[in-house]
Amino acid sequence: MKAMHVLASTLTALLCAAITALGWTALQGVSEVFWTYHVIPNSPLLIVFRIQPLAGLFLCLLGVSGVLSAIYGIGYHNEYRTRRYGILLDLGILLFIVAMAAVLLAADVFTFMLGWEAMSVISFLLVIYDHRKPGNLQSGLVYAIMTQIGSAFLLVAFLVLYAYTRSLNFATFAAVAHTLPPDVQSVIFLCALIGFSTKAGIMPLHVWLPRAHPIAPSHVSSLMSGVMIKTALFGFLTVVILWFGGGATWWGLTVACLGGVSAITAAALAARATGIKQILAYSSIDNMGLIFLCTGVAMIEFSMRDTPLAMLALLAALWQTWNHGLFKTALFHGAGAILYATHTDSLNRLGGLARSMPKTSIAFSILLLSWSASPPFGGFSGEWMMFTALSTAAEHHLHGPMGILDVIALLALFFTAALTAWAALRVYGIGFLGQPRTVAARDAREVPRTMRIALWMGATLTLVSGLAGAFLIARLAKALTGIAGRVAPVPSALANGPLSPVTVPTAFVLIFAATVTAWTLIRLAQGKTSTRTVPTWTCGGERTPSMQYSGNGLSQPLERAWPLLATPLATQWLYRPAYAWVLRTATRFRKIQSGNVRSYLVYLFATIVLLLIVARVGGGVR
Amino acid sequence: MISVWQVLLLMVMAPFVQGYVQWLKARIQGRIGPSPLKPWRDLRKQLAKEVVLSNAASWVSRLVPYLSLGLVLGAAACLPVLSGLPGPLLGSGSIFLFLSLLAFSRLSLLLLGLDSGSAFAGMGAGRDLLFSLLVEPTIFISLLAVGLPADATAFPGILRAAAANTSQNPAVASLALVAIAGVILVETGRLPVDNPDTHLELTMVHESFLLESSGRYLALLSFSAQLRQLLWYTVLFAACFPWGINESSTGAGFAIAILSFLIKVLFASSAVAVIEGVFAKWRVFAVPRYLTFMLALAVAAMLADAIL
Repeated sequence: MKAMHVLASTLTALLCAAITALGWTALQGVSEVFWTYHVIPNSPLLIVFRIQPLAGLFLCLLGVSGVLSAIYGIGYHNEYRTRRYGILLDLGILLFIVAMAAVLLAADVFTFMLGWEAMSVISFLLVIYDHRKPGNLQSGLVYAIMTQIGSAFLLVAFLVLYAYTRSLNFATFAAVAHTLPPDVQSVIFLCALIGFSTKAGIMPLHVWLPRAHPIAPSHVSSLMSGVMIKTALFGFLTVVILWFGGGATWWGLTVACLGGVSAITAAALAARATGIKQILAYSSIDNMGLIFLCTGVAMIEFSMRDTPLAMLALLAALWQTWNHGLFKTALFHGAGAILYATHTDSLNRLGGLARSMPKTSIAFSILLLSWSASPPFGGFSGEWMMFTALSTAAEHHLHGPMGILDVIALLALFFTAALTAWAALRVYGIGFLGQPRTVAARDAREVPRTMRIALWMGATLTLVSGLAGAFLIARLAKALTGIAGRVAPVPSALANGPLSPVTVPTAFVLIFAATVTAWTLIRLAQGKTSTRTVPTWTCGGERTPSMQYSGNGLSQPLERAWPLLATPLATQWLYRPAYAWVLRTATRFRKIQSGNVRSYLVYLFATIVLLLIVARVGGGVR
Repeated sequence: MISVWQVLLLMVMAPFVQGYVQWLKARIQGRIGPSPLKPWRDLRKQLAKEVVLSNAASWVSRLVPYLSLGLVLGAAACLPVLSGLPGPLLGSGSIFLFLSLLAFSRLSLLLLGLDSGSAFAGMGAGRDLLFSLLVEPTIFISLLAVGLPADATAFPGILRAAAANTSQNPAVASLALVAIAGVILVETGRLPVDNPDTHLELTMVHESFLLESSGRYLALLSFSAQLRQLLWYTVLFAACFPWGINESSTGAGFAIAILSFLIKVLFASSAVAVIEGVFAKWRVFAVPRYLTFMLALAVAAMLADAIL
């Protein structure tokens, strides 16, 4: 059983390595159809796979995230050892990765929707893997319903495109989509926005995300948060940038506003939630919000024909996508490690993990620093890129209305960054430091080695992408040259910013040197520390763990100063009225269900007559 | 090379500035006050003392004192103190890098506080985070308001823009001045926002993280805090009072730069001492209102850029 399980995980890791290689090829600028399969001969039902530069980044992310999750899964599997169907989890992960790859490689509607639906269904099944726990099935159903609503809108968008182009091929869409009537374009845009932002977790369509992520097995949450929600971004960029070339100005404005609101609100929710996985889920929403904010700004610039600025904003969005995918994958692995060791992820029941599981906790702290955009890690690089893009745009439009929008976007970025720091500090300060609050936290032990290896790989990768950020961004910029028939920006104006290959490494070396020098000097002057440990001062009383601040206590000032951020607006204004309306309508329809056989016969008869009339009229027209 | 001298100058001056503020504040309040050299003596004494750690402390308590100092020194290397030439240490001098380094050092301090599991630190952490939520946007927007018209998001450019600003666009300069100065009071833990002299749970913000520190760790942490205070003054000078900083590296230019920097620091720290002397501490939840006002001023400076 154990051997089967290691074999499946190894296979997954190998497949993911291949996907990474494929993605890297695409980033070299390769763009070609490499596989076509006729489902039914001589029909338009094709499965067509194609690699292209935009998908390259997402494929690399999928591959790296998949490798980490596969390695992690080997040790994490012990958590589910008692189940006889444990191997299904490995197979599910493998299929999930294949489905996501299919979405990223699809070159026509049929292939795309096939991959998209497979991805949704498999991820739903993975989410409810623990379906025996009370409440899990219900949360899973919310996910299933939301994802189906999103798919329905996508299908509408594709069908409208088909109606106007008589083709299901993405290449045709890219060639003719921007010649369609403006109203039709807008309808397609709105459908794509609703469809993709449901999957991406943009507010107000985010409700499934904080429900589904905490209950899924942790490496599933990793893949969902690190990669799956990014496939929605990939789809959205394909439609809006590759096909429509940015669209009208109000499109970008809508996307930027939705993104900004999502970012701030979700970051505030992340700073208030108490379950670590729920905090991470909210933080995914806020990062997707920032990415959509930058995408929106890019769309506005495209529509104003300011291509270099647009490419800069797009580059920022994509670079943050990569960094967020990386550290969020690893952070969910870390949250899984905590669950493995203590069987709880509530901050109020943890504490002191830095002493009981030091190896895990140091890796986790690196990832949290990356998340909170501390230099020199990947999250910092991503945020610096977004800051550069937005401030350049603000400078460019300083004397116009768009400049004010860019300043608001910058404000959203800063607020989100400060709230994220709050959330990250809470997770580490309450969860890992201080005294253990429960017996489970006190008795925590280090997790299996494969889990730690995956965590440390994630931490190393996020450090590398921070230090070598300039090279990777340049690679990405080169790959995107010629996207939508446009050229990439010359990053000369940014030579000193995030695109400078020396700045961040210099800062890193400098701070490291200063720290070591201070230590050495003090050691030389004063000798070794003589250290005494005593209990923390509690004003003379006896000390208990409950004297420490709890997770809720640390976020209380936020709730008190801005109560609006603590109000569930989406539930109150959207979901509850919608739910009530559905119930009301259903009640009205119940009147015709009398239970009387004769009335049902009348309904049948009326339907047949109606159908005959329709068929007659329809035939007459033909 | 001048970058190294700049950082060394800041390091030498930082404890003295702290001592001067305490001395002047005492004089204003009618006390004799400690000698301005007291912070230096305190550092020497603390370095020689035994370290007492909480038994709940982890590796965080041992690493943060050094790391925090390293981060503040890194931030210091981004700043133009005497010379406006792009610093050779951190080629860019980008405000984003500078503020991120300071934010990181703040984060590490809060972690240090929570490491001992002290309730005081938790209380201070919540308050500090609440303030930082408004402080960071304000400082970013004010610096951008000064720099953006000249396409500058790095300190050397901001310096040049500020020199042009005071004559061409006094509205931007004065709005940014008030916003930055207002935020500095919060960042350096001064009255009326935080009381650096007491250890009462009702008043503490910044002091609460250091409660469980002692010996050389306390010395390092106090020194970082003093250095950070001087860095904030320097930011204010770069954005609003760029006088005296020149791009020449001759002896005369150097002397003028040092002299003007000393005078500016003297004025800034005297102003802080006066404010500390005449204001009483505010309630914690009155601070967000004050900070929101500062943020509004920063945004107004930005709008003044757009309109004028």
